[in-house]
Amino acid sequence: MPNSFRNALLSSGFVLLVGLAIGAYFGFAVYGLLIAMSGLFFLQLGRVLRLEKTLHSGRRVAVPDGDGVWARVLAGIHRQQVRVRKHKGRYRRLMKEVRQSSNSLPDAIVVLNLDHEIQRFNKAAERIVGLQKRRDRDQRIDNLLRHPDFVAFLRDGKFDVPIIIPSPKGEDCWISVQLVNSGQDSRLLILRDVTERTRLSRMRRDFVANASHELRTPLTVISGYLEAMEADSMLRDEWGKPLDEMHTQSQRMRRMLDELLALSQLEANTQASMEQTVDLATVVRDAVAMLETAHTVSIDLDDNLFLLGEYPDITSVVTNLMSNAMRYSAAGTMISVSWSMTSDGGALCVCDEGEGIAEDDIPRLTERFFRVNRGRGRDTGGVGLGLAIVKHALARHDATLSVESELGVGSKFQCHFPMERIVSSPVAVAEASGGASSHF
Amino acid sequence: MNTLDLNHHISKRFNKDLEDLRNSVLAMGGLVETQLAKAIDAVVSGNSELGLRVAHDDYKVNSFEVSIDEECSRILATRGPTASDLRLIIAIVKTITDLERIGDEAEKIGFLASKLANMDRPAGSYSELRTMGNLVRAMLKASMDAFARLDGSAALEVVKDDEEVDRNYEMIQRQCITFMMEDPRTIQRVMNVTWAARSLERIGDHAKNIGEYVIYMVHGKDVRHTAVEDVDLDLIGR
Repeated sequence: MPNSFRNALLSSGFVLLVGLAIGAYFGFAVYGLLIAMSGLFFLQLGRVLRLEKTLHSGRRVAVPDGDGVWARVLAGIHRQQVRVRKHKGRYRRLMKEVRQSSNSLPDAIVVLNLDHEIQRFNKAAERIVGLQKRRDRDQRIDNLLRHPDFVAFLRDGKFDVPIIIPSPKGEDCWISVQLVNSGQDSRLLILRDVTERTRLSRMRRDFVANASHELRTPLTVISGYLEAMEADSMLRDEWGKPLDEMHTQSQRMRRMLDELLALSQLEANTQASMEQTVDLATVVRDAVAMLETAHTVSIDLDDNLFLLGEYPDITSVVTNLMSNAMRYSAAGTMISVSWSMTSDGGALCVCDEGEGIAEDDIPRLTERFFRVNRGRGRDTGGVGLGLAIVKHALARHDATLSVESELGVGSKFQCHFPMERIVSSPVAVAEASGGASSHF
Repeated sequence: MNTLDLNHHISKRFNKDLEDLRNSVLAMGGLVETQLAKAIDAVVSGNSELGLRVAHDDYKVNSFEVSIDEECSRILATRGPTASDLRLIIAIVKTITDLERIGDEAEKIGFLASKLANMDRPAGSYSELRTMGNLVRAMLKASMDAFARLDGSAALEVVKDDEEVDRNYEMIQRQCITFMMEDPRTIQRVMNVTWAARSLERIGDHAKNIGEYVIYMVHGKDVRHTAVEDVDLDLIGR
C-alpha cells in the first residue's frame, strides 16, 4: 500500500476520532461523528467539483504541494495533459508538412472514396482541373471532369492504364489521368499536365510526315533521269551495273518514304471507324495470290467472320505480316495463315518455320528501323517499318499484336481483335456500333 | 446559398436515384461538350473526316436524352417528388432537351466542316469561328459546372455571357456580307460559314437556357425573359 494512501486513511481516521471525542465531551458522540464525516465528505466533493471544472474548461490542472492522494491524482492528470498537448503539436506539425508537400507537388492529387466522391485535393488540382476548395467536397469527380473517355474510364474500372484527355481548362491542353487504390475505401486520382509532351509528339509526327513528303519530289527527279539514262543504250553498256544499283536503291528509298508517310498518318488519327465490314478471309486470299513465293502457304480461314474496320489498314497488316514471314524463312518451308474466332474476339495468325527471333529482341520488333540482325533484311528488300505499321494499324482497331518465337524453329505472329469489332455477317453494321443501350 | 440538398431523404434508394440521374445528365453534358469541341476543331483545321464523325456520333447524345427522360418519368411516377426534388427533375427534363439541341447544332457544324474542308480555305482559316466557338464552349462548360455545383451565381454569369456571343455573331455576319459583296464567287463558301456561326449562336442560347434552369433549380426563381440587371437585384436581395 503506498504511503500516501495510508496517510490519507490515517488523517481521515484522526479527524473522525476528534469528531467523536468532541461529541462525546458534549454528550452527543454520534452527532460529533456525523458532523466530522459530512465535513470530510463536502471537502472531497468540493475538490472533485473543482477538478471537473478545470478539466471541462481545458485548462491545465494545478498540482498542489505535498504528497497527499489528491496531489498524486492531480499530478497524474497533469502529466497526461502535458503529453497529449505535446503529441497534438507534433501531429499538427506533421499534418502541416504533409499538406504543404502535397500542395507543392506539380501533379494534381485528388482523394476519392469508392463512389468517386471528392474527399480532399491539393493546390495543383485547383490549377489543373479547376476544382474549387470546400465547394467541391463530396461532389462526384465525373460531375466536374465530364469527358466521355474519363467517364468510361471510371465506369469500366480498368485503372492500370492511364488515359489522356483534353484538359477542362481550355483548348489544346492535355492531361493524363491515373487512378490508384490508396487504402481500403479510398483512391488517389493523379492528374498530370502533358500538354508539352503531346505537343512534342505531334511536332515529331508532323516533321516526319512533312520531311518524307518533301523528300519525294527530288527523288522523283532523280529516278526520272535514271530511267532516261537506262534507256540510253550507249550509257547502258558502260554504266549498266551502277545504273541498276542506283535504280533499285532509289526505289527502295521511295518505298521507305511512302511507309514513313503511311506510318505518320496512322499515328495521327486514333480510332478506325466501325462503319465498314472487312472481309478478312478474302483479304488474305488476295494477298496470297499477289505475293508470289517459293513457300508452301496453307490457309485456314473462317469465311463467316468479319471485322469492323478499314480496308487499307487491314490489307497492310496482312501483307506486311505475310511478306515478313516469307522474307525470313527458307524457300519451300511452310507458312500458315489462320483467321478464327477465339473466346474473346477474333485472331489472325501468321506462322512460319523460319529462323526465329531471340527472346530479347521480341519487345523491340515494332520499333522503327529496328533490325534483329543488322544488315539482314536489307538485302531482302525490307525497309524496316513493316511491323511498326502493323502495330499502329492494329492499335487503330483496338487490336494487339503478340509474337511467339523460337530460334531455328519458327515464329508466330498473332493479332487479337476485340469482340466489339467482330461480326458474323457483312450486313446490318451501321447499328452494330450503336450501343444505344440505357445509360443507367 | 445551397438550398438543394440531395442527401436529406430517409429513403437511401431515392437519394441514389437522384444522384445517379444528376450524374448522367452531366455525363451527357460531357459528351455534348466533346462533340462541340470536335466540331469546332473540324471546321478550323479543315478536317472533313472529323466533321463527319461528329455528325455520325450524334445518335449517342440522342440515346442519352431518351434514357434520362425515361428515368425522370419513372421517378415522377413512383416517388412523387416535391419541392426542391421536383424542381430538380423539372430542370433536368428541360436541360436535356437543350443539350440534345446543342448536339444537333454540333452535328450541323460537323457537316458544314466536311463541306468547307473540300473548298478553298480563306487566309484567316476561320479564326473568327474559332474565337466564337471558344466563347460558346466556355459558356457550355460553365453552365454544366454550375449545374454540378448548384451554383446560382455562376449560372447567372453564363446568362450574361450570351450577350458577348450575340455580338460576335453579328460581327461575323457583317464580315461575311462584306466578303460576299467583294467577290460573289465566294458566296457558296461564306454561306456555310454563316450557317456555322448561326449554329454557334444557337448553342449559346441553349447554354444560357441551361443557366436559367440552374437558377430556377437552386433559388426556385424563374428568370426566363427577364432583363439580366433585374435578376441581379433579385439575387442580391436574398
